[in-house]
Amino acid sequence: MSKYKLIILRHGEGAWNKENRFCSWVDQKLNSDGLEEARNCGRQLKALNFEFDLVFTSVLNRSIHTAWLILEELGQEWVPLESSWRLNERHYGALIGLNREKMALNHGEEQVKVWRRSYNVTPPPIDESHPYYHEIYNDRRYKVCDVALDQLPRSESLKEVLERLLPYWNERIAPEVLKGKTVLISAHGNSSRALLKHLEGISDEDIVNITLPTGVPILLELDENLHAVGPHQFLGDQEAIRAAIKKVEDQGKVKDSKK
Amino acid sequence: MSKYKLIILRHGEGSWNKENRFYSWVDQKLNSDGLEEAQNCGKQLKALNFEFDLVFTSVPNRFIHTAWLILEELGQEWMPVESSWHLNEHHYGASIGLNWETMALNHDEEQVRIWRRSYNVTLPPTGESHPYCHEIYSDSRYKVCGVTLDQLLRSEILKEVLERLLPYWNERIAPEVLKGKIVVISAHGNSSRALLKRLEGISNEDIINITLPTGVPILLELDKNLHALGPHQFLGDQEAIRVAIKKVEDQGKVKQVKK
Repeated sequence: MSKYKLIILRHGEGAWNKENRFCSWVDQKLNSDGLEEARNCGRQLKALNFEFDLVFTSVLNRSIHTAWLILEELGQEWVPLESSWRLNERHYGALIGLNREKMALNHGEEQVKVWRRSYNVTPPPIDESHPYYHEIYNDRRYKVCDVALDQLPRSESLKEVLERLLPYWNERIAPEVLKGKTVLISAHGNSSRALLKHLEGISDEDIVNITLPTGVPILLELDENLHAVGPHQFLGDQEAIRAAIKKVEDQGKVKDSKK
Repeated sequence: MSKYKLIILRHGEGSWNKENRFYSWVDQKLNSDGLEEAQNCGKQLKALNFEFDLVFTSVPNRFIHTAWLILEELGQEWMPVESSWHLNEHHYGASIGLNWETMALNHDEEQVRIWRRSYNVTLPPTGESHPYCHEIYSDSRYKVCGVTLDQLLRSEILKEVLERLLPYWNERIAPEVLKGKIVVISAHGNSSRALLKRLEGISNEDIINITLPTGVPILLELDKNLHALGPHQFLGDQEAIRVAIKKVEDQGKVKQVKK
């Protein structure tokens, strides 16, 4: 029986989404579509009379701006918001910044799908020669984490995302949910999937097939032990949501070349 | 010798500032000038290479938006922001929503200046028939304060602003400053003045003459006992700051009638 409700969402589009590049830990901004997606998400939640007690985000600005826009739509800017690297998007290592289409041409759609969606395949790690290495690791936000800079990931599988996310869920978020607080988690595609996998008990094989659309609030109803009482539900116009899911799925595919 | 630094700032303009109306606890949004002031404030702090650790704001949205815009300019959206009613503006009671100019016409400029600025002169309280009473007190942000709704203020003198702000300064903000954290407080004209009065030891008589411009970062350097080492300093172009101060001071004056 449902005792608690949790809203999770994947932030809206940034410029690199349109270019099909792995954004990961690079601190890209939302583009105009992404800003609008966030506002629509807020309007959707307002129409459903959601009142949040607490918001959690990653330390990447796109998840924070998404949360801010939602809170603004709700007139709830004052709600406490906490940011942690443990909700960051999956670290794609050396693949960060690379274009998915080119990768699919070079390595095949299947390999790209494995890298993107398998549970325990870790991409090659990022190193100092990577064009985005210093931009990421010189940023102060990673010097004030609960782990030392050199202990932070240099690449991750989805399994490793869950391993670093779970302590934060257990120690910071779950206790608030258990107090009956209505919590919003504004996160990313893979960090959201990792958390849903844990709460819904989705298998390593099935998680590959779960696609989360951007900017759509995802409702998860939990029992007294914080296990999902049913599958997650997307809130909003279902036809629009199906189109949004397909858009994400198509990002990994090679475009047909037209002659 | 300066041991700690604190930045205090008064939020930018909302539409009621232009109409010279007492905002107080009403949740007005920043207007386009106010948004720009906040962004300029952020640019100023970025040019000075300020890196913060923590931001405190009051609960009306204009302070929070001011803080957000500054953090966005600095690329530090991940910074913790804490909002509390203890930092709210001076509660103007029954005068909320009234116009400075009308009051200056009916009660003369000097009386209005005393009401606006004096330390211990009370304005009549907000009653249930006040047009903004329900808007303020039915908002959920005031149901989760550390005091019950019926114990929340209905009017204050400036002395009382300091009395309810000081415990928050002592229990939440000062300990962070003492840890060496660089703190930004995004607040209102009168709550900022109340705090400066305390930290700088400004007298009840002199506080009336202190004017704080909107959207200008105010630096206070503190010794090891959190006493100010010198007067507060406005950061930025000094000529523009003088103009901004004059703009605030002119809000209480009667406009010349042109024929």
